[in-house]
Amino acid sequence: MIDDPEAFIRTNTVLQPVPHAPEISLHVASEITPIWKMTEEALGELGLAPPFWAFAWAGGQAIARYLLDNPNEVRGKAVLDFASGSGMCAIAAMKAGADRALACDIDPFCRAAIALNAQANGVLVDSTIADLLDRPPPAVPVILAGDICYEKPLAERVLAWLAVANASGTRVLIGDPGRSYFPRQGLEQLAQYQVQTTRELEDIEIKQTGVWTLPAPSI
Amino acid sequence: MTNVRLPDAANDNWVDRFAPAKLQPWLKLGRFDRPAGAWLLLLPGWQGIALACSQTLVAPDLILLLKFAVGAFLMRAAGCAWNDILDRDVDIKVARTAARPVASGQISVKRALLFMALCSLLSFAILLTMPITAIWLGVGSLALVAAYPLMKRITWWPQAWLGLTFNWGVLLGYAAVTGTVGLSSILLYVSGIFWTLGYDTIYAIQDMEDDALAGVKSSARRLGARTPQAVLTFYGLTALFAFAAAYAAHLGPAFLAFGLLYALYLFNQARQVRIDDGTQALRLFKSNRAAGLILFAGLIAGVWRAPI
Repeated sequence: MIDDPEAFIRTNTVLQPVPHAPEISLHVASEITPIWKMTEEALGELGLAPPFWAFAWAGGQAIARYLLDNPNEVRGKAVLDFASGSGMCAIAAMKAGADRALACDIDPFCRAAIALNAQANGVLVDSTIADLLDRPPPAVPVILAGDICYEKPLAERVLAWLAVANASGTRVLIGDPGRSYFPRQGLEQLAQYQVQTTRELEDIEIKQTGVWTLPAPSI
Repeated sequence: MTNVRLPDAANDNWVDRFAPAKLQPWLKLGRFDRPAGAWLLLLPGWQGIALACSQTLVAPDLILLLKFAVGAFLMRAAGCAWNDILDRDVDIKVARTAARPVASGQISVKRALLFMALCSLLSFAILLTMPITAIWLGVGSLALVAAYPLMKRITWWPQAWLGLTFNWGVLLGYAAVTGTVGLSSILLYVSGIFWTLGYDTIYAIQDMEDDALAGVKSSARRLGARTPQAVLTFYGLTALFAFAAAYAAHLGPAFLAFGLLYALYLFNQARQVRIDDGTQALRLFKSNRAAGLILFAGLIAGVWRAPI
């Protein structure tokens, strides 16, 4: 077990600018930091889930870039960052002028990562480990969801949940590099970027990544 | 030695009825026969937990609530022992407190100190299972606790110090969930301080005559005939800051109903205050457990449709 998550993050990551949103820096695993090479078993012995928080995933990078370039999407608003990981999207929202941001991720370790990353970028981000899929989406103006389409059942569940949020007037922004379970139908593309990731995580180094929204509900 | 039933304990309290005679002085030293005070120490902690959980859209963790309950009863016991040790010479002069175990010589000062240390150590062990911020807050509360009995001698407002001390649990509970102290928790802490000012001013009505004779200062003695208005003012501020905390934590609409009920309940209490009726004062004081539970329930309910 890790007693002090913050100390663990500081020793096992490096603070680096996000490739496609260099205005933001994150504590990420890299070639020179050990968690990069850790197997899932080794992580399990430390009481860690796979450290999704230690990477700047392509979909999140695209959302971050989009918010920094289109601050009107979030300016003065409350923003929920779903499956936040590192907190990158929430941090981008705050940098773009959001009133407040709540980053949620069911991995408890993310709370320390989000707090450290928010601090490194000079913004305040609240975090929670609540599994929000268990309840109706909170009444919030904007929900950000980066890289949610890894597995079919989860992707379907999240998209259904986001559709409920959208139907009640929430602006939903989804960032995705065209993963297998990402359904293009019924989505509206807002932007497209060539996002640099790493070969260790993805099949190719430059991922064509889109930011999408659900069409506004008809009244 | 006979175990004298203390006048401010409920007549049917479980310590007098069921506890073995040998244990009774110890249970009385820790005030386990009168849990009202422990509840008042516990409720701010639970409220802090509920506030933090609703603000971050989670349901309160039952284990954490239980840890706070055990810790509150133990720390209250330690605090009472410390108070009785320091106050033993004054307690003999006040009818309500003359039979307390240390003042009456049933328990020696040394053994009372040992009891205090044991309760504190057990609480500390529980505290160590919490995030680092909460641990520091818990340790920091000892300074407030230690200074409280002395405050009665130097200020007319020992209740204010009691408020700072008793409501510390708001910050501790909030930090135990979030790892930090946020604006909403500070607002709820301020609300709690006014709550304590109100209910402890009511409590002090019981002692007004004796306190005057012994030269002990209290806000009730200081306020005299203006006591009912003062309680009303304190409770008004209590409700105001509770709503401010809920607003800062972005709680959902269900909190409003409970918050209004809480304000009404306190208002009704303040309305009934009479400075010449000690029995009534004790009854009103004790109804604050219900008041605190109403607020606790409201903070939990606030998670429903919370806008984040």
